[in-house]
Amino acid sequence: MIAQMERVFSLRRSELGPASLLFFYLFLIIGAYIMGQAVGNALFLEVFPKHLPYAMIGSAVTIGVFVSAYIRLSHRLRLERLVTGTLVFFAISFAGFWWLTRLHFRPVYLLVYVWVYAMGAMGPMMGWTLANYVLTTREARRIFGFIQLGSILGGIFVGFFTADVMGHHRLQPRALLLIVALILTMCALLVKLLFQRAGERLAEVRLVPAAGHDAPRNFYQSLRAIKRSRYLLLLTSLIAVGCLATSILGYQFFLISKAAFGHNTAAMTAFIARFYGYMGLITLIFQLTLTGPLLRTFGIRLTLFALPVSLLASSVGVFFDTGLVTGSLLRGSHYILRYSLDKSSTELLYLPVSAELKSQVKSFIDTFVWRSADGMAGLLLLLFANVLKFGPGKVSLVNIAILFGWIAVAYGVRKEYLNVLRQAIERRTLDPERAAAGVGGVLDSTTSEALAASLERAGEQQVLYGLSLFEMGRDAASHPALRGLLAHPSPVVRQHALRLLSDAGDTKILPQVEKLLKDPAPEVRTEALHYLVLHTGRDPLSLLETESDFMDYSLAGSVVAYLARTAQPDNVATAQAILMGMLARPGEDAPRARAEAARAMGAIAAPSDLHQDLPSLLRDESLEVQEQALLSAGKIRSRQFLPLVIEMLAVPRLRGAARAALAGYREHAVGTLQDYLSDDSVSIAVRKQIPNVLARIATPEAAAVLANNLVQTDPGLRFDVLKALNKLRRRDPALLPREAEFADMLLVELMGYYRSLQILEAIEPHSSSVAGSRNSDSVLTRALRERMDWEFERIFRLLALIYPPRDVYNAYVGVKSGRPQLHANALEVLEHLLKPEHYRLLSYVLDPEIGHADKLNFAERFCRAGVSSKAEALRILLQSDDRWLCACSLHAIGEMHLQEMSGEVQQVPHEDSLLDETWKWTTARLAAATA
Amino acid sequence: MLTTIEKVNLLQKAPVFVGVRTESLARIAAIAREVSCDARQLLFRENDAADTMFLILEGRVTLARDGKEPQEAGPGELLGALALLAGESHSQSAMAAQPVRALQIEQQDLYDAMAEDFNITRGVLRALIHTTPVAMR
Repeated sequence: MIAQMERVFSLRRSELGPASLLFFYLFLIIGAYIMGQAVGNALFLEVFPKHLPYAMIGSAVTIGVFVSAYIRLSHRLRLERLVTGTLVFFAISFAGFWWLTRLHFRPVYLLVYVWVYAMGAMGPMMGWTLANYVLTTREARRIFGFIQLGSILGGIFVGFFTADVMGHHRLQPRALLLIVALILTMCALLVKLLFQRAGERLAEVRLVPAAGHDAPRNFYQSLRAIKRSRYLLLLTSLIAVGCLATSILGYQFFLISKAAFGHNTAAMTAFIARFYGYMGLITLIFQLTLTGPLLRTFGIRLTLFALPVSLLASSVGVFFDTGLVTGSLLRGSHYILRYSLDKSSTELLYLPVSAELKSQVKSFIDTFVWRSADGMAGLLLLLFANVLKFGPGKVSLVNIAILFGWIAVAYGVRKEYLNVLRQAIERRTLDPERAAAGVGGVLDSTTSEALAASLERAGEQQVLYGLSLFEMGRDAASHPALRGLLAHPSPVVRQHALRLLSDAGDTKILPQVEKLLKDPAPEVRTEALHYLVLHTGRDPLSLLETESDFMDYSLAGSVVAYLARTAQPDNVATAQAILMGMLARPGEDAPRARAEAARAMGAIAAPSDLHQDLPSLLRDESLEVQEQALLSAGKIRSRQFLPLVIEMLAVPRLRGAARAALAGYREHAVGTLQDYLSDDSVSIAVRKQIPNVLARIATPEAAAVLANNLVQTDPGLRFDVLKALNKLRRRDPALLPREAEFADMLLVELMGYYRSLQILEAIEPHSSSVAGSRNSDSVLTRALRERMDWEFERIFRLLALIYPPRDVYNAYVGVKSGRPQLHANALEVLEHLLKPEHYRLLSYVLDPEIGHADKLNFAERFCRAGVSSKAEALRILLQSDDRWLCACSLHAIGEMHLQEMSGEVQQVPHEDSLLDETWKWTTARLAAATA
Repeated sequence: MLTTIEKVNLLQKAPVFVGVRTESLARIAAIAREVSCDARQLLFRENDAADTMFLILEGRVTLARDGKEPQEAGPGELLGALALLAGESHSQSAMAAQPVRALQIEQQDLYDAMAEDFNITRGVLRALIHTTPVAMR
């Protein structure tokens, strides 16, 4: 059973516990919401049949207050306490409401109505917050679907359960409030259990307040971001107008139900609950069977209009007939389309929006837009229903006007979507993996067309990027534009396109594929071979024999790869024989044959006996063979080759291949790379390459290794680690660990900078007040200036890890530009961007209005030490770990005949050839001067 | 014999290396060989492949191009650098007008150093960009 669950839902054993708890949490919380909504509406309408608009406004305001209180508390309370506390608060409230209903305390029905909606807004939100903490980004991509299923099934199951209980008059409706309280208590227990079972995963939120220092985003910041972009403005308007229409039709539905059931509250509760149960079931079936095909066939250019147009039709129906059937059709068509086709279409609309901006905009929409739309709907209904006395049927007129507005906004969004999508494709700012997770693996025809257009006019990287976006649809994709790519100059593109077409079962390309058997690139040939065997049933060996160039080892390599892929013992033995022949091939073609053998090994999945010769190929005398063996090791990802691959980082000619191979290992290499990076006994040439590799792996684990290894004595290595962290931050800010102490490192770098300033001033008085190097500078002065430049860059790279990187980079370029106006602008930006304590420390470095003497005074205060003389400065440099500055200092001592420093010179270790040469030269100069 | 740092001191003044960090210049210093030429000895000939460049330390060199007025270069001047970087042939001949001492850098060694240390490539690129007219940048 467990094994089946693991397979069906792509769950791993370690994820089963937390994923199941989250599944049940959402199952129960949505169940509680459905049950609460059914009973809350029925009870409220029984007591206050004409006051629904007031309740709608009240619930919008209450939810706003609750969410705001929740956010405030999240800065003070740990997540566990916050979530369980909120759930217990709601549970106690509902138990209290049940007790008050027994006393026939009328205002409690308003409270029940409002509380249900508040619980419905906050309960699932807390569940998804927990899911985000418990699961890593990669796990989330696989598991979110499973957890989402919990919420859908919860709605269906509890809907039918409530209807059954009410239908048989086993309970009074108000008793359901007690059940809601019970379900919420169970949710709180599930959260407790989650914190106990997933302790390690939740370690980071166990001891600190729930909200990080950078969360949540400020309301005005989000509003500014939306106002800056026409597209986001349209998208927000689309959702707002949709919410408005939803609230109004909900009002109509409940009033129509009330009219149909009169004072039979139990029957009305049962009806609403059963209605939600059926709607949940139909939505699930619709989503699984129709959403994908509809999106692929019509694209969002049409699906965006499906919901407003169907609501328009059913609103017209309700206008003419306010019976329960037309009312249910209105609410039902909304429910089914809203949570299937419309939801997926809206998710697709976020595709061109960056992940950071999307989460900012979404939280603004969830907390502000939805509530405002509910409140606005309440106000409209107050005017039309209570003042102008519109009945539920006539209210349709209001909604019809709103629905026309919805259609107009959808038209604007559609137009703008294509523009921003094209721009995002050109700038390559779409993230295929995140996008795939977000849209549920469906790529609609509108987006496909835009991608296909980009394939026709782009270069290799852009085409590959476009193809990776094509792959985001879980179902195989075929498009005429892909066929054209089989003749693309890049072999990677040809292979990629062929694979996509093969997966899609496109048999129209058979003649082209036969030609690709002779493609110069082996990966294309293997793919062609695979295609022919798969789609024509041809035998690969007979295929080889019919080809005239059987001895062409590149084709032989492709056959080896194909035979190994079949995993049949006979085929594997044949593959082994062909491989041995390639490795033993004599003559001048031997290196090429071995390289092809190495390449073929890369296409064979590990573990395999066919890999036994790869270690010797990694040490081959031919660079070409070594390079190919490295790339294959990266594809195989077997740990046994890792140390050899890492060692190759020290060989300049093989560095690129070794880096690519390690990046291919992805998360499997992170632990070993950490060991090498933090080991001082490993050659610096190897260690310096590791940050770049970790940045290419780009997982939270790789980022954590980099953040943990930021403290390095070698400034070059420190710089490389910083550079890698900057790359990761630009790629996805969520990759960086939240607890990383970049601010402390910033202080260290600033201190280093001020110390260099003191040393430079002592060696060459007043030279530190002059920007840039001069021709008359000594090598030591210039080297010191360069070190300061480097420290300066490290300071800004650290700032880019703490503050928005783009703003920091612009400020850096402004400061380095040498143009007073740009420099002043950069200072202005930094003053507003940085925390005051950071800006104050930096201002002495940057501000041209601060005098030279003041800078030096500040440096002395900050470093708590001064540099009183040239001799002291040279002494500090001689003792530093920086071999280049040490050599330059030695040289300067010799050049200036500083005999008083001969004692210090004698003590300088000089095993290094540069230091030895300079040391000898200086010693000789000092001896000659003495003589 | 010049030490590495003395070579760096000379190289850092050559326009093409002005943007290269001193530590990276030490790599170039390590591949720069000190050579001496007698008067009238040819350093390189016009249209020959530019596989070496010279930084003159002492003496003067006559630069002659077919049909053009000869010019002279002296200490601190770098000869053949642009042709070497472009992988082209020398556009003029260089002959020692008097005994000359120079640093000689081989093209392949320089390329290797540039491949191993990106700071050299970046510094050279920067220097070349600074000599490019603003409108073309």
